[in-house]
This record gives sequence, structure tokens and C-alpha cells, in this order.
Amino acid sequence: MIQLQAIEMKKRFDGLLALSGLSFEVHSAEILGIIGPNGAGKTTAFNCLTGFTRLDGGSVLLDGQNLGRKKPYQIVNLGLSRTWQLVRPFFGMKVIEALQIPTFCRRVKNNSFDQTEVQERIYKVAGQLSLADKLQDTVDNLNQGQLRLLDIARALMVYPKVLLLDEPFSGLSHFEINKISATVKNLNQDGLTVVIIEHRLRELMKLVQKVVVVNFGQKIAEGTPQEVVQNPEVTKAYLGKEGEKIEIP
Amino acid sequence: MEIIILGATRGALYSVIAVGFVLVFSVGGILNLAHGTYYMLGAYMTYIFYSLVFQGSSTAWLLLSIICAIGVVALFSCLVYSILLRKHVESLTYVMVMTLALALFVSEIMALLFGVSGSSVPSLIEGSASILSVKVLNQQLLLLPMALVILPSLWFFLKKTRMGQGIDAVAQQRDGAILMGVNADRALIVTYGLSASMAATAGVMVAPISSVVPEMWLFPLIKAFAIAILGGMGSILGAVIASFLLGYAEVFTCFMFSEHLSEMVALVLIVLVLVFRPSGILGKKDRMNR
Amino acid sequence: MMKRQVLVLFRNESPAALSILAAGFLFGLMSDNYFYIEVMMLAAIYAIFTMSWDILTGYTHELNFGFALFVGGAGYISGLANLHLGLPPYLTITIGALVTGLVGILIGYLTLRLKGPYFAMVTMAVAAILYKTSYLLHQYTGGEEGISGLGNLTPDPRYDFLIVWGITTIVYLLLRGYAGSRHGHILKAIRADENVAQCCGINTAYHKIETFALSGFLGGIGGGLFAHTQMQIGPTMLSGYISVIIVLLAIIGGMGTIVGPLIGAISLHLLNDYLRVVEGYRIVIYSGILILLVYLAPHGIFNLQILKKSKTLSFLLLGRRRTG
Ligand SMILES: Nc1ncnc2c1ncn2[C@@H]1O[C@H](COP(=O)(O)OP(=O)(O)OP(=O)(O)O)[C@@H](O)[C@H]1O
Ligand SMILES: [Mg+2]
Repeated sequence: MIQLQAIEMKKRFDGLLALSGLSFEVHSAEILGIIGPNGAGKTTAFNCLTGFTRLDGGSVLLDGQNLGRKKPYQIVNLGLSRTWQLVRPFFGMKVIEALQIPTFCRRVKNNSFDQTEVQERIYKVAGQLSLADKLQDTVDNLNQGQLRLLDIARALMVYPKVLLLDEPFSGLSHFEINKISATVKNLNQDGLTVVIIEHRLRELMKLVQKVVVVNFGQKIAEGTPQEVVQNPEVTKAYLGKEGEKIEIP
Repeated sequence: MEIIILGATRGALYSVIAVGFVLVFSVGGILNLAHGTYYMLGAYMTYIFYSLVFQGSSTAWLLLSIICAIGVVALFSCLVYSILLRKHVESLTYVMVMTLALALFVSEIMALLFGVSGSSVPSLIEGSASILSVKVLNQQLLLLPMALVILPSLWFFLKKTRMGQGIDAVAQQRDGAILMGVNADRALIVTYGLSASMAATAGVMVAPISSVVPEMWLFPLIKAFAIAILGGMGSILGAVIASFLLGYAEVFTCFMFSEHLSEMVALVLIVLVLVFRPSGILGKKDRMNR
Repeated sequence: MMKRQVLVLFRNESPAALSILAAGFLFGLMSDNYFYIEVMMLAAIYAIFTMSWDILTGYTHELNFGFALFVGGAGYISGLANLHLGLPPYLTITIGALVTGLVGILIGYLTLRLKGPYFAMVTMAVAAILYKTSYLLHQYTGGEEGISGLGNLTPDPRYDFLIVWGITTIVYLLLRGYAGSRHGHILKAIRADENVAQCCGINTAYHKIETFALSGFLGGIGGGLFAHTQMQIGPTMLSGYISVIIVLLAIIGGMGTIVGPLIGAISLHLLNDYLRVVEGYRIVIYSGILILLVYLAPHGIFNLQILKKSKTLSFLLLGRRRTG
């Protein structure tokens, strides 16, 4: 079943065509990778999916519902949650307070009826992302890896149907990447649909079932990790010349 | 006809006031609510030097008083910056609160020392001229050459001298300039002093034609605000154009409706522009979020 | 049952604030010094101003530099309603506060996208427009003179005092409750990162407007109380001076704590009154002291690091922190 569908998304930033008719679809309980060179329009695509950037053309469907003119918070309440390319924690708050903010949204209020369940979910999600012992720390004292985990935890607090992660591995160690990968896999097994933008192809390819390759705001290839890395168009976009192969183990 | 001449003198006056205000904002992100205070101090200091210190009565003494007044204000503003502002210059709230509190404080001191009724300063050139059958005070006409001297020299300073280029660089792109070795702190203090002395000059020139009263700091501040916003917060050329626009708009309202309504023009402009066309003027997003 | 609920209301409260409020009540009941009763009453009204300013600016950090709009606006509305329509004070104060609450909604909506200096400028300019308007419409507002001869709150200054302190206490508890609830947390999230707050599924625009309305409504109550206890209202209450004083008192007390603005406003107002001994220099000394205090403690007394570090002090002054 198609859960999230981007149809012919177009976006122009004065003169620059950031998205020129990008289409892709994500099936439910799938992990989709989006890759592409710098400036390809990946983040812009996320911003359009989540309502932070208005599309100039095309549309986005979540479970068949058009997200067209919806505001970002309304889209979140429909079950589409995201993280940002740079970590954006609520500085000045404790970790537990930061995780409490998403529980104030309508979606969570509808999902769980008593306060204890919401509290338990904070501990559960924090546990999943190895933040359980950091709950009483202030956000300002966390390191880069923990901030990433916190961002993902925050995005999970709203009981999302689809989770969009924008470069969740950047700036992290192998150890931390493995941890996030494992968590994402687990969540996916529980039925969560995930879309990941990543430049660390090696780690990404191990995680995803399907990859969409974007360049100049358009989809230039799509398929399983194996298919994509053998596609000459993709190697060209990445390495600037044909004939070489991107290595994945 | 009257509108053309009066609007031009008013625009000239506003441009000298507003350009400094905009410059400080773009160099240091400082919204200097004490800007009008330097204008007021320029007027008061001229009065103090001329009538109390020198007690002279010739134009030469007046000129000397004017120079001393501007010097004192420049010095005072540098002190204000380095003692009161420098430490917390990154905090918009602190800077706004502190400069506004300072403005109130200084105006209360002046009220205490010289009373609220107003002191007077003689004109540099007495009398009035008739231009195309419009009668204008000479002192008012003097505003035009003043702007014509000050604005180009400011431009020259910013574009041609080393110090000025540094300031300009910080204004254009702060982090880049600092990386290139510009001392942003020094650039800021020079800008602050420069901006204050320009405000003081304007105050000095206006002192003879409007009475010198403690609350005279408020009016130039509001105009500077409106002009900065109209001209796109951070653009000096924009500020000059906006000054004349505002000058003409006010004179026009004054002629068509009433004096009181013309005082509202600047305020209403601030609100309308900010509320309905923020995208047109919020060019510097990162700075405004600081 | 009722008693338990009332206790819960106070359990997390700052002992310092509660004792000052209680001391005020005691003073009002016992003292026969009507001069000081008046002084303390005005101090409490200023505390209402600063606390209602604090709920918006202290929690979102968007500087409202035109609070006089609410204070003076509501003051004039209730004054005019009392004078021309003959309505009793409790009605006129309610009407005034409702109007400024609505104005808060309007301004909140119009300034949604504005931040930093731009927000501050618009609030300042809107208040200044109202100030000028009060001169333009001088046949109704009395221009420079303002309007006087307004009806008393009650015939007895002591009752006036008790009512004002009662309302101050209610405003305090209400705002502390609001700030400690999800509403306050959401405001802090908006302050930290508005986009991310939206990513949490929160209608940030709604919350900002809601708080603006609350701030305007409570500030309006303060303005109405001012008009009826002083029995007059003039353009000073609409002027930039009053806006700045409110900002200064709240900042010196400590933005974003409610307690700080309460205690800051009361103690500094008493100081201001004490300076009457040097009447001629009073405003100069008073504003000089305020500047010095802002300089020495830019984040306010109640936000000083020493206070936050010491558990006892922080409990005594700020009350128990509600987290987790
Ligand atoms: N708000 C904006 N205004 C103007 N141009 C923008 C804006 N956002 C993105 N762009 C431009 O659109 C293009 C696509 O940017 P985008 O951030 O989507 O790329 P990306 O694929 O995420 O790149 P990266 O891998 O570096 O994150 C870039 O050229 C960028 O400069
Ligand atoms: Mg990106």
C-alpha cells in the first residue's frame, strides 16, 4: 500500500529550480533512502512534504489525503514527522521537558488517554534511543550524537506513521550510526514507514529496501540498493564521470 | 512649491539622523534607542557651551560651541558604548532596554537642569530667504548643504578609507569580515561614535529653529525607526531615499490635513510596512533572529 | 476536598512571593496609615502590569515595548465608560480588559511573523499611535489633562486596597499556573525553535495569540484598576514612559519567572516612593538606579546564577520546579 506519495513536486527559489517535477512513493512499513549530490533538492523535498515550504506545483498525498495547503503542525498531526539536517534541540530545556513538548499535540492527546501512558512513552522512546539516563540533563550538555538521538526521539513522540530523517548519520561515529540504524530497523519492524536522506551511502544501503536518487531536483534513478549503485546515471551524478562503481560491502 | 522645498529640507535632516541609526544596526545589530538622545544632547551642548561656558555672542563663538558640542557627544557616546553596552551587545533585549532607559534618564537630567520649558540657541545665519516666492528660514536652508556634505563624506569614508572599508565589511558580512581580520569591536565603537555625532550635528542644526526641550529625543528616534524600516533596515542608500520619502509624505500630510496627523505618518508607516510587507524588508533574516 | 485543591494551588508556589502577598494583606487589614495603603495599592497595580507583561515577553522573549497600549487603553476605556455611560467600576474594568484582550488577539495575529527588533518596534509604534490619538481626540480624552472624577472602586480605601491585592494574588497564581502548565512549556519551546515546535504538532500561532490575549486582558484589568483607584487617567499611562518602566521593573525582577516581576515591581515602587524625600531629583535617581540594576544584573535578580545554583534559595524564591 502506498503511504506517502510525492507527485511532480516543483519549487523555484528566485531563479533556481530546486525541485523540477520530483515524484516518488513510499509504501507502508518500508524504509526508503533518498540520495543525491549536494544541492540536489533533497532537503527542499522534505520541506515541501512537511509544509514548511509551499510547493509551486505538484502535490503530496499521505494515505491518499492531499496535504496541499496544510500547515506544518497539521501535517504532523496527520502522522508525518521529521528531523532536520542540522540538529535542532530545544536549548535551555531538560531532555525530559523537550520530549514532553510533542505530547501536547492533538495527535498524542487522541492517541493515549491517560497521562501515565504518555509518561511511559517518554521513557520507552528515550530507552529506545539510549537517552534513558540523560532525561534529567539539560539539552545544552548533550554531545552531537545524543542531540541527533534526541531529535529522532522527539520526532517519534508524536506516534508518527511516517518518519522523515534528514541526514541522521552526519557527524556521528560508526558506533552511534549502528545504534541509530538498529533503532530504525526495530521501529520499522513494528510498522513504521521511514524515509532517510543520507550521504553516507555505505551505512544507508544496509538499512533501506529502496533508494531514490535525486539530482537537479529530479528523480534520476530508483530501485533496490544493488540496482541503484550499478546504474551509470547515478555514478555519473556522484563521481562526475561514468564507468566507476560505488562500492558497497 | 512650498511642499517641494520644505520636504527637501526635512528629508535632508532625516537622512543625517537616520543614516547613523541604520549604520549602527547593520554593523553591530544594535537597535540604538538612545539615538535621539544624541540628537538632543547636540542641541543642549551647543546651548551649554554658547550661553554658559563661552558666554560669547558672535558667530565665531557659536561655531566653536557647535564643534565642542559635537565632540562632547561623540565622546559621551563612546563611553556609553564601552561601559554600558559592550559587554552584552549580543543581547537585543539588553541593548534595547538599556538604551531606552538611558534616553529617559538623560532627558530627565536635562529637565532637572534646564527645566521643561526650553532653552534657545541663536541661528548660524539669521533671517530668511525667498526662493520662488516661498519664504524659508536660512537656518532651515542650511540643512541641505549639511546633508550634502555629510552624506558624501560618509560614503567616502566607508568606501575609500581603510577603517571605513572595515566597517563596511562588517556591515555586509559580519563573520566573513572578522575572519579577514577586521576588528569588529573597534569597527563598532567607531561606528557608534560616528552615528552619534551625526545625530548631534542634526540636533545642533535644528536647535535654533525648534526650541531645545528635554523630550526632543523622541521625535528623531521615531523618524529614524520609520526610515530604517522603509529603507530596508541596513541599507544606507535605502535610508537616504526613505528619508526624503518620509519628509515629503509628512509635509504633504501637514498641508493637506493637519500638523498632528503628520506626526502620525511615521508611526503608521512603521506598523503598515512591518505588518504587511515584512518580506520586502526582512532582508537580513539571520540578524533579526539574534 | 475543596481544601485539598486550594492547597495544591499553593504547593508549588514560591514562599517568598506568597509571604509578600500575605504580608500585604496583613498590612492592609491592620494599618491605619492611609498614605501607605495608597502607596502599596499602586505597587500592587504595577505588579499586575509587570506580571502580565512577563507572561508574553518573559516566556517568548519577544520584547513588548508598548505595554502602555493595554494599560492606558483599558484605563481610558473604563474611565470613559464610567464617566459617560455611568457604568459601575466592576463592569467598566471588565469591559476595558475584554477590549484589550481582543486588541491583544489582533496585534498577536498581525505580528505573528515578526521577531526581535521588528516585533519591539511594532508594539512601540502601535502604543505611540494610541498616545497621539489621545491628543487628537482631546474633546473626549481630555488631551494633556486626561479624564478625572472617575467613580471609586469602593468608598473605603482599605477595601480598595484589599480588592487590588486580592486581584494581584489571583493574577499571580493564574499566571504561575499558566506558565507551569503545558501552555508555558509550549511558549518556551516556541522561544527555543518555533519550527521545531511546529514539528511537534503544535499550533504555535494559536499559542502566541492566546498568550498575547491573556497578557492584554490582565494588563487591561490592571489599567482599569489604576483608573478607578486613582480616579483619573491621563496620557502618561499611554506614554512610552510607562511602557519602559514596566519593561525595566520586570527585567530587573527577572523575566520569565512571574515571581521576579511581582517582587521587583512592588519593591522598586516602594523605593520610588521612598525617594520622595528628594522630590526634585526623584525621577533622575530612580531611573538611574534602574539603569544600574539592569547593568549589574541584566537577566534580573531572580535569574541570577547564584540563586539558581543554591537549592534552598531557589526554592524559597522561585518555588518548586515542576518537571518530569
Ligand atoms: N530557502 C531557500 N532559499 C533559496 N534557495 C534555497 C532555499 N533552500 C534551498 N535553496 C537552494 O535550493 C537548492 C537545493 O537545496 P537543498 O537544501 O534541497 O539541497 P540538498 O539536496 O538537501 O543538499 P545537501 O545534501 O547539501 O543537504 C540549493 O541550491 C539551495 O541553495
Ligand atoms: Mg539537505
